[in-house]
Amino acid sequence: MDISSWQSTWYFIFFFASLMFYCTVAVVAFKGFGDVVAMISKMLEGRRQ
Amino acid sequence: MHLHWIDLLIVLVYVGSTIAAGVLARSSIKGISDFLVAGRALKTHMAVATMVSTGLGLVTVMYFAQEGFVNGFSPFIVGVIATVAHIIIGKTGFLVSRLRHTQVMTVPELYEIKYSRGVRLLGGSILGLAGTLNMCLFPILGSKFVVGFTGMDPSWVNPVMIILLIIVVFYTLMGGMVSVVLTDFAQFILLTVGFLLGTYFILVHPDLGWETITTSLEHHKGADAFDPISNASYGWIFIVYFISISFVGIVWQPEMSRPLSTENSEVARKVFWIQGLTSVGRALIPMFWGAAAFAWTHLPSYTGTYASDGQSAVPEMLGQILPVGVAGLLLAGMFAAFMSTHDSYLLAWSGVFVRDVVSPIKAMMEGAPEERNADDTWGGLSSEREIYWTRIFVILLATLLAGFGMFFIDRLPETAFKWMYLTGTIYFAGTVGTVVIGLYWSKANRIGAYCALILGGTGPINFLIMSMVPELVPDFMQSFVENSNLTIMASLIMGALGMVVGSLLTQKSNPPRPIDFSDMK
Repeated sequence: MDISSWQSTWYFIFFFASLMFYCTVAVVAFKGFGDVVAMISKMLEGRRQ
Repeated sequence: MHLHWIDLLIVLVYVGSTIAAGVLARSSIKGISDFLVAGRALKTHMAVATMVSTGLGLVTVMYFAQEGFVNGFSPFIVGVIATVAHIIIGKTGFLVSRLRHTQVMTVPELYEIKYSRGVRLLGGSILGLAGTLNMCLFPILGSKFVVGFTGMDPSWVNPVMIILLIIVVFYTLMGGMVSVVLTDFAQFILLTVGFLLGTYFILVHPDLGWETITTSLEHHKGADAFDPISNASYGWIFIVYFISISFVGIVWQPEMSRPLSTENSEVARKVFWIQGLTSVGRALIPMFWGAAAFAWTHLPSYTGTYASDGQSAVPEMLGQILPVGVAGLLLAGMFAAFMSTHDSYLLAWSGVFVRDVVSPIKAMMEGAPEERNADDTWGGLSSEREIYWTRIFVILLATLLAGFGMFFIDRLPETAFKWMYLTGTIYFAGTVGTVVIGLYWSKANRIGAYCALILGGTGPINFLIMSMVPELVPDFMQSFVENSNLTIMASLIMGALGMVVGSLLTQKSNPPRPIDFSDMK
């Protein structure tokens, strides 16, 4: 491939990869938040005991 | 220092919260499995968050950024390969499912189940050595980022490194894996926001932007900045090596400890494929920052001193182009990234030293049977003593890392990225035989495992020694010193061959131990 083809390929991959990264993080953060709250509650309970 | 007080306040709030989390987590530690693998109770999304955070430390950002600075967009190929490999692993359960099914906490534990206590001792020693060498760069690179970003005088690099290490050691000692998981989750969110804003401000900056960056790379580096095949740092040998290592690399203890901490094999597999979706972004975004820093330092208006220093140019650029508030957020994210990787790695390598080196030696001296007890110990140290010694090793390792950072950082062969893979291969090469072949080939035995570990680890260690004294290396071996690609690829092959040949020759004298996977989920 020549330079301009590589540049176009990396341009597409960079923006696609970024989109996939941010979307995955958003979904995981949203769904994982409940798990974190449960873990902290468990720790606070253990501390009270 | 050019940071606003609002930026500093954001950083202080984060660090304070982290310390509080460590203190809180201490109350939930009841035994060694709580300390090392959070009681094996991690649910899918939390495990994904913590695994992504571990793989996205400040050192990762720094070495990927340096790679982008030195080689432009060519290293993007690394992120693409990693993502494809992780998604395949997640979908097929390759290695992950079987390892989780064996209920081990560290990979060398598998060696005692499948081979013998002696193999575990050797494997644990090699893993500990590789891990410690690998981690040696972490604190100093993290400190360089903080100093470069804040605009502090470069003489502050060592003091900042020591302060950061003290904070990390404190809360790792407190809460073990529980505090690690909590801080990982905070980092996961903070650093992502930092990534998004950092990239946005690079793309819209009048002196940067996509076009300016690509034009600068093309002008100064030519095709090497875009074509990974023609770039001598990569080429086909490295690409084949990286494809192999992307599948084998999942047995790297700090990363594997997350799937091993999940509820069951099914969750472990799911964790892998979801986090695989982030692998390419985790690599490409900091590489892009590195390429942007290259363009930044080659602007006619640039007056700084980092035009040839990929490690310092990125933080300097970010510190100058980000507005108040965003800079604080990114720095807090980077602090979080520094801490979450350090705590995970310190815990992982300390756990390996204690469970796979110290404890087996004690068990051997006492003649304890090669069996796992109900409290996850193996006849050596008790659960309480394992936690105690793990904490001691955390402190010892942190001290060693500080020493390396102060005295060895300028003597690295090749880039930081290559150092990571070279040191990692000391261990990975052996695991091709002991773990990959061992889990799927019924004839894999104890002698094959010894051969795989020794033959696999020899190549990278030899390279490290030879690269320190190149003048003593004979001419016919110079190609092994000039570029590590050949060495690391040959090591993987030697690790695999060692297992196959060693096992086939000794089937009768050393019959293989079978592992039952029939009830695996």
